[in-house]
Amino acid sequence: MLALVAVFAIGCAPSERESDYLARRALLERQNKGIGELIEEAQNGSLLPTDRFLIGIDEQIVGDLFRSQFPLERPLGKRFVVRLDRATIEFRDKYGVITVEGEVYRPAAPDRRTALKVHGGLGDVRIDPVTDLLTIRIAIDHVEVLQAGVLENFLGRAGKELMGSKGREMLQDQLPTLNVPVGLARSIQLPAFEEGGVRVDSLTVPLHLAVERVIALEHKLWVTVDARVGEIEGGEKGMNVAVVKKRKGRR
Amino acid sequence: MTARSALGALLALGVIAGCSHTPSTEQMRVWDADLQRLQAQRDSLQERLVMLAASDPRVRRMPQGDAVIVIPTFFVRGLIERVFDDVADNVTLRLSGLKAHVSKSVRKIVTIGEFTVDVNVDEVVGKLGPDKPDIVFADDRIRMTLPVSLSEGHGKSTLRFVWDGKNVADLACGDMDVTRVVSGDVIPARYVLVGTLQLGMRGSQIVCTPKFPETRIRIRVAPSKQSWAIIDSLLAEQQGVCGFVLDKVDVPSILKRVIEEKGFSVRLPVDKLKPFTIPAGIRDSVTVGDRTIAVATSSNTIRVDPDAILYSATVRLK
Repeated sequence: MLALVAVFAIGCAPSERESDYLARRALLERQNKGIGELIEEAQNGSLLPTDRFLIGIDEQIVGDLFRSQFPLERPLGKRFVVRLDRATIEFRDKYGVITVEGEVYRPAAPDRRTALKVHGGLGDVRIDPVTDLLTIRIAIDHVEVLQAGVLENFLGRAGKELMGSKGREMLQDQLPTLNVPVGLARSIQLPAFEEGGVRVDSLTVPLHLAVERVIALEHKLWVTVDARVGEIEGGEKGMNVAVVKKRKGRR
Repeated sequence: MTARSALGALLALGVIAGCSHTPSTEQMRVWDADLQRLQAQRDSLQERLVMLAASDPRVRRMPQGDAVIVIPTFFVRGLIERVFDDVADNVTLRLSGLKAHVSKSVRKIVTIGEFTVDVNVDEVVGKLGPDKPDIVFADDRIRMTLPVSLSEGHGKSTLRFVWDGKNVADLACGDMDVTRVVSGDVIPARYVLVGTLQLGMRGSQIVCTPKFPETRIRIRVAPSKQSWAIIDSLLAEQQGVCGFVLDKVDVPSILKRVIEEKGFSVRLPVDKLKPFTIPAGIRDSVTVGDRTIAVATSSNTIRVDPDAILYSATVRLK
């Protein structure tokens, strides 16, 4: 009985038209909030800080890199596969608007596919410890099931919504990250040199980097990085600058 | 799945499908109006943001390009100061094999002899210390004035005095060949290294190249009291035999002039410092999933402003 009530509760989910409205409204509200915050930062003079590393990359480059891996198939749980085919990326409103389209299917029945559209924005940013490249997760706002294939007529809008909300959690970990072709090395190498009688050993200057903020502004992704110089390695034991004149022969 | 549970699932899905209701025309009109209002608000805010950004001096001066990197001079200044401080504070200047040679004929109506004084620096060890550097960011380069102090140090030298008597002096005094080891302290001094860091590109990497002119510093050593005592006693021993020769030559003055006043000119090879790479740059390739995409950059511009180093590039994926 309880199960039946639950099913009714789910069943009374919004209509397709209402869902479209709610999704569109959520996106617009987020965009307005983001742009409003950027306006406030611009008025305070802190839109682009001058005392931090700042990296700006065009949305076209980020989008092309992201799309270069399509079509991309990833497992979705134990029984499904998601295939991603298309994506649009816009960096204008602080949080960005990212849309990824694709299909979900069961490997056992690859002809029966459900088309879906993933709506999201900029998520966590990190500097990859192996490549030193900036990578950004996509924070999924909403998964829209566009066409449920053979189940289309049977599932109805609410059934597709249910699939969408369940798929959101599963997709969050499976969506590839956005990549930025800008690397941030974690150290500066000052090369050794030897000249005549003078020898100076190499030094390593470690840098502590932390991503502070990511914003989408004027079709670019702007990443603010706090960088601090660590303890210099190589000079702590002292450095000898030895000047030795060669003997020209005894008089 | 049993027949019963399958039936249940079908029923549930049927209910879901059946419960979706169609909104009224009025409801849809309200929704459309709401969306239009939000969209108009977004467009208005966007327009305002574009205007504010366009008038923001920091946004306005951003170079054009697909990729822009801004490095605050605050960071670069701190980095140079830190490296200079750490390096200069740990530098031990070790000099050896330096030589000073003085030779002269001594005349008293006729040539009475020739002397040579050789000072061989066996080892002088000095400790460098940094002073506050002055770093200026302008004209697309970084100008650096790096003061260092030679604050402490000591050393020992071998002093050889040779007298080759001629004519009467040869008969009276004969020849003399005396060698003594003297020690002394380095006279503190301050030197200023002036150079630039020039920024350029090596492929898609920003490279800093230190440019310093040939730099020489002069190391002066003051003989210790003990060393003067050794020299004085040495001269006193010889005084009785050939006092007038030693008076004429005045070995202490020569020694003072050679190592304490003139000193030893030492070349610091700062002009040989190697270029190093700035830690932020566009990569030649990016691995996306299991594919490696080559990244080509062109039209690179690099500019040094008082508060930031700005770099931009056109990026193409291959």
